[in-house]
Amino acid sequence: MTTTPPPTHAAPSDPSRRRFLTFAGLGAAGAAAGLVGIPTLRDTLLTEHSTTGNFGPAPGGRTVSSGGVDPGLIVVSIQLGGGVDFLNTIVPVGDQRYARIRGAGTLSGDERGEDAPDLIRLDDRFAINSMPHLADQWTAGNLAVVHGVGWEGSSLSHFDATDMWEKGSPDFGTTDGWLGRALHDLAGADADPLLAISLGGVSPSMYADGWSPVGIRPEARIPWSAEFREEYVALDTAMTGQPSGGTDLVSRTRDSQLALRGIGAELGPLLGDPDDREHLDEGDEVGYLGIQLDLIADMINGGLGTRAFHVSHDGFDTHANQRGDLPRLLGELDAALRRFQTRLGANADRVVVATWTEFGRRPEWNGDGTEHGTAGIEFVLGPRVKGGHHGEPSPMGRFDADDNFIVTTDFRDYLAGVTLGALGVDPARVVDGGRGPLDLVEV
Amino acid sequence: MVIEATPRNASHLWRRAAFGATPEQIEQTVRDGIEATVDAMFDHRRAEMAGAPKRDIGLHGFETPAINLWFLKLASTSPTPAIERLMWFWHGHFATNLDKFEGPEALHAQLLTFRRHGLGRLDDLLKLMHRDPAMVAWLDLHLSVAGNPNENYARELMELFSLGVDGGYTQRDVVEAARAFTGYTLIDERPFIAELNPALHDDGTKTILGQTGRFDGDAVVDLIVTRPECHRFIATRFWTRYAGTTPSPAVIDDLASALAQNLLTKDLVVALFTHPAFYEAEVIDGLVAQPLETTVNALRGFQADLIDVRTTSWFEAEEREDEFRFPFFVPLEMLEDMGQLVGHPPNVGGWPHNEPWIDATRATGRLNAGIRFAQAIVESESPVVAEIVAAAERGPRPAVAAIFAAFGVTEWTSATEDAVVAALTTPTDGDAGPVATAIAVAFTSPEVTLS
Repeated sequence: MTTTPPPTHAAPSDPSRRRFLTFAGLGAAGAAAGLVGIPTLRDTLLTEHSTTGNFGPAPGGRTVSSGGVDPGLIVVSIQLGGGVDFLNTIVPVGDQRYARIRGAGTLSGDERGEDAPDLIRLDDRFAINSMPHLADQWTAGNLAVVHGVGWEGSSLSHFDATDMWEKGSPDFGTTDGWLGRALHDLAGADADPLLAISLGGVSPSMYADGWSPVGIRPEARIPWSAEFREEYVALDTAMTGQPSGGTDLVSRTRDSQLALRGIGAELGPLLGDPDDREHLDEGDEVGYLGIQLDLIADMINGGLGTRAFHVSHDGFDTHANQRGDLPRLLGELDAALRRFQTRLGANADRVVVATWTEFGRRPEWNGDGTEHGTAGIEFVLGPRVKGGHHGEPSPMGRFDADDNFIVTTDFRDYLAGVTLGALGVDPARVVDGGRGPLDLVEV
Repeated sequence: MVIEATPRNASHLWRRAAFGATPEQIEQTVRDGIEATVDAMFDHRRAEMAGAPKRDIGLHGFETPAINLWFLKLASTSPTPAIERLMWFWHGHFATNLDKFEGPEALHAQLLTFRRHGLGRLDDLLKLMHRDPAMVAWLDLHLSVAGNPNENYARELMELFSLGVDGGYTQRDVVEAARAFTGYTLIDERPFIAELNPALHDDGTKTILGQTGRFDGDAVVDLIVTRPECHRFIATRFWTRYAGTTPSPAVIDDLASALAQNLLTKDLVVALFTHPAFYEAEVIDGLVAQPLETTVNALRGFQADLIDVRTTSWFEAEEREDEFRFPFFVPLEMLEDMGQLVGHPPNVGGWPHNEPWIDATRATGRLNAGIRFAQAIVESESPVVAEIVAAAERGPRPAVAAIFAAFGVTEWTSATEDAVVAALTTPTDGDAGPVATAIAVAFTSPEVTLS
């Protein structure tokens, strides 16, 4: 590969200050205006790439709508927490070695009865487990299956692997994250604080690099809506002030309280009171993931300028009871994505869903499940996605020194492909090294 | 080196080692000194047995409220709050989720193990964990048998519970240790004991951490606790969770050698809370209180009259709601708002610390929780609220002092003072009166949010 300049994501001098001043001063209109620069930046980068030829065929410039600025694609990142057993997810039913490798854990399309695996053929090599919606999307050309994703020398730890994915770098010296770097490159210094939103518990460190993504939990009421201010006049008066912009914990605690005011004004009307929202039962097939994707769909449909959402779907650490747990979790994912795309309506066209999982699992069946492995499979879904197989499936006849599948796709090339395709960000600013981005998104 | 027992240092000690303190406790520490206070706090003989929630609270579907209310009541009223705080530390360390075990009893038993053995020998505690039904179920250990071992427990034991990911073990060690941990099965769900079943145990020869033998789980623990990596890892975990800052290697040396002497956690804890580095300014402002800690501190400081699930069943609680003046659902909603419940760590690595708890997401939850708490505590006729109301008659500033005294805070900034005063003096015709609003503002202030 020709020379790629070293990543130059120098930490901005004072990110928190910038973030909160944006909120305090500009409001929604000003924040949206901050996005105007995107197409220009993207065009510049793509021109550069096509000239140097670093990245193969250069994606063309996006059509800008006649209304003015192209609002851009939106990435919805879904962590499939625990490490998905790819072998029983995208099942190589066409390969005779599969049954030999997987032994008693082999899934067969020939089984009948209530517990028979729900395998749907994708092509002569592979079937997909328990995901009829994704099978339809595959047929429609909207699903990319990325094979053999990982890195050499994995420690097989969930936490190490999550760290690696979030940093997008094998260099543990870095503390920032691939998405944070991408967002800075995308939006520059005066970014809309709502550019990135994280659903659920803890904001993942992939946003790090000065970003503290706005976090939404379906259970939590959003304060500082108009109704809230009316109800709590004294509180509203008391909790007004100028953010200090300091980096110590005391300043940051106060500043994030003050930032709520701007966030609440925008999100409150869109999301409403949690008690008034449509309730999904615990046993609903879309699970908690579906509830969270509902919120994301409503925020997208509501016209927020958000370009990156993150949500996680956990439980794939199937050391035991994999026969029951894996199809259930995949089924929830599938049903939740179906519901999400339906709810998005026409906006589905702007959304690129990209999964990441810590690692795949080991070839060998342990009697009731599978152990931590290396290479995994990722999915990219959306009407703008270049459907089909990407990357080489890990060899079925040859394993690494720990009897694990061999990595065929550098995880950085996957992250670079997602960020270049959906956000138009120069991969050199997002990941450290790699062989060049995968071509995952139609532009 | 003697640590000066200033009110600030005394408040810092109580807020970190326990869940805050009354003004009287702070005064007593100023008189007695830091060392004597630490000795008394961690005198395990003073910790009485904490009763269990009544059985019928454990009906399916009520696990989470039952275990959380038990914990909140115990921690907020305990005469030995540092023991309860240590139980909470170990819950975050051996982070076990309720979901894999029906009913709260198994997790409750695990928490009592932390309470009973939390100051004792580290190897004893580790050996109890692979016999602990909640842990065994959580990490699938009972399904790991000779011939078909699974690596879940062996890996997390080394990576998260004892050595750390860079702790000098290899994937080979994990695979071999997994064999040693085969056969620890749940004999019966009650009375919550997992035992080694020889018929399911692989008693062949294994090589683990450079030693070869017919090791079982206990023998693996014995190998681990001799390693300096283990002492440093545990010392670092304690420092991170109680001090909050990145520790210097010299401090970790001190704490690790305290632990290494006799493998007693108590020695480590005493070394930590009497270490001069623990009283440096950056440490005092260096830790965000986790939501459960803030909630316990508030319930304690305002003497919330909370249901006692050791003597009252869930159904009685609903019927007898009026008897307990602080509604039992309020602290549960507070924890839910802020995103932290006992028995529901995000994963086996436990809860994060510091930054993730003060981003805008969590600020939302803290504000909601503060409003809920303030309204409920004012309506519950708390004696502490009565003192605040009395102080408010003398003026807003005495009321501010009374509010922060309840939270165990001895110093606050003028910006915080101004905000609470504004809450007390802004005319309002909404539901929340000025005192409730002021308590909510204080609850969300940096002084209360940081620990």
